[in-house]
Amino acid sequence: MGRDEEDLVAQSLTKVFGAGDTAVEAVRDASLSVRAGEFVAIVGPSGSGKTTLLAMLGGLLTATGGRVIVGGTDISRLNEAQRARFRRERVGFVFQGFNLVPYLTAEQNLLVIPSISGKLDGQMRARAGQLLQELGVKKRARHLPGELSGGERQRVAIGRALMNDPLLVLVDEPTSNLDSERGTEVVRSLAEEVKLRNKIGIMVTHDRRMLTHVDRILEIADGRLHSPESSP
Amino acid sequence: MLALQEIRRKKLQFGLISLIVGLVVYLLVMISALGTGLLSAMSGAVNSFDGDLVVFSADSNDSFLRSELTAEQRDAIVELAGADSTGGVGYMAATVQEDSASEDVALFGFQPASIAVPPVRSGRALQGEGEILIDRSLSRSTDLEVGDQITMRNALIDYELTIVGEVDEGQFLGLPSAYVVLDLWREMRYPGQAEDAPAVSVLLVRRDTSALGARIEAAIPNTSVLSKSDAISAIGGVTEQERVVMAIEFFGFVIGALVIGSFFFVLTMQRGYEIAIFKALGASSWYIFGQLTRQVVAVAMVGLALGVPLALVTDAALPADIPLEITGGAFLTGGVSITIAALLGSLLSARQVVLVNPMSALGQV
Repeated sequence: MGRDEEDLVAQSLTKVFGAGDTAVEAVRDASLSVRAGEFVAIVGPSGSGKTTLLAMLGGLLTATGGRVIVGGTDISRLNEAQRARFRRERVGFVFQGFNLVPYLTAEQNLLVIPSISGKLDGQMRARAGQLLQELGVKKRARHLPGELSGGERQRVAIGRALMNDPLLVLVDEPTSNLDSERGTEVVRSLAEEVKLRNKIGIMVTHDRRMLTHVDRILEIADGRLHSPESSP
Repeated sequence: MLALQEIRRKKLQFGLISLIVGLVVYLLVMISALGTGLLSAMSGAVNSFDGDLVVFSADSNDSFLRSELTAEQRDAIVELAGADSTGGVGYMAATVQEDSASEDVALFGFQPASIAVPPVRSGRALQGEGEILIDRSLSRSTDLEVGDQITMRNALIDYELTIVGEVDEGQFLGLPSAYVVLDLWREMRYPGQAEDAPAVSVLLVRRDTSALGARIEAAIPNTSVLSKSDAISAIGGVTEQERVVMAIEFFGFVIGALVIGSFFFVLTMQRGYEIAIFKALGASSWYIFGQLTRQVVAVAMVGLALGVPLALVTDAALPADIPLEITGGAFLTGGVSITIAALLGSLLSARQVVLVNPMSALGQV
């Protein structure tokens, strides 16, 4: 696999919501590139456009202008069904507030993606067990999210994001429901997983205390992504 | 996996809707059974006739009560259709008396050694005019049994008859039926005018070809030929009764669809956020709707498992004179209807599923 096939490249991304007088430009001409094994933070205040940018990078939202190439695939050209397939095969999401399915156990939450893909088998169950083991929540595999602590839930969410062995791991405000100590711990685990598994890691956050473990920081304000891309 | 896991975790919620579906199934089965029972009470005896065509006198307006065929007409029909394929039947209302009790019956006279002879379930066939066969519905409602002596009263004349056998031919116009030989029926129906009296009420004809019916009507004056099913529909009130039952079944079906549809519609609205997560993780609307459909089918199956035994228990508990006839068709109507209603109802949720924006998973609409 060539270098570019392991990278994410976004060129002149723009997203406009609405039309005419009510049009809102949420992201303006944003360009960035992230290599596999790199964990990048996009930092900005609420309403700055960071979640919209994350959604476009992950194929959840189509850009009004510009393009996103992930692992050699231009996802701007994909239709809705193809983008859904792209997400389940190449993207791992860690949502704000965990977003675990409340009626599924920790293990079953990891098995959601293989279920959706029609690939639920013994191998996938073994992989889920292994991930839970590595994340230190194996003993809680049969517990429902409501029975887990905040940190355990977040680790299960990380496990779910890694379950499909994605190229791209996108993390949305991972520490919003955690105290500072636990938040730092979660970000450190994410950074380790990204490096260990050679993923493209992108995290959006407004919490600057969580930036000690990232490789690069990008700032966004009023929809504009600011350079320079400085290291922490 | 996901669909059934949700049911397992939300037992009370899904249990309640399954109970409601079970009650709708019960209602549909009972309505269907009541419809079948009523139809059987009105026309069961005619439905049991071994014939494909029924020949009425044309001026009777295809009524068993008014139809009268002369001996000439009967002989001409027999000549056209063949003696082996015809059977004369006479009808009249009569009263059976036993001790101080009396019971109205539909009395049929049948032509011996013809297709009109009813099969005997217990006892033996008729051998003469002093004998009578009774339908099971009469023995059930009166405690009469084979070997009993009864008095049949008509036009102030009493006929002493011995019950020699029991048949299972059903009722007619809501009355239990009884059978005597055709000569006795003529004597009872037309007392004192045996020479000039009509030979039979109707003639049964086996061999269902429209050509034969048309030939009979063309060749023999004052005859009207109907298929057996049309002859049943022509019985006064049967068509109206069938329409009423069908309308009730239809409304039950619609109510079932709306109840199930509303439940899953509300459930889908409530879990919009979860659906958004599934979509964000790469699930298509089709996949999510497929999971929803599995839940709908599971709820319908549990509903059937509750409703069907309840209907059977009710049938066993109700008195025999209530015209309730639970058949395989009733279960099929209830089961298939509710499954189709459930699937149609779930379509209400399909649009909701499609409309869920996966961006909601990121807290953005």
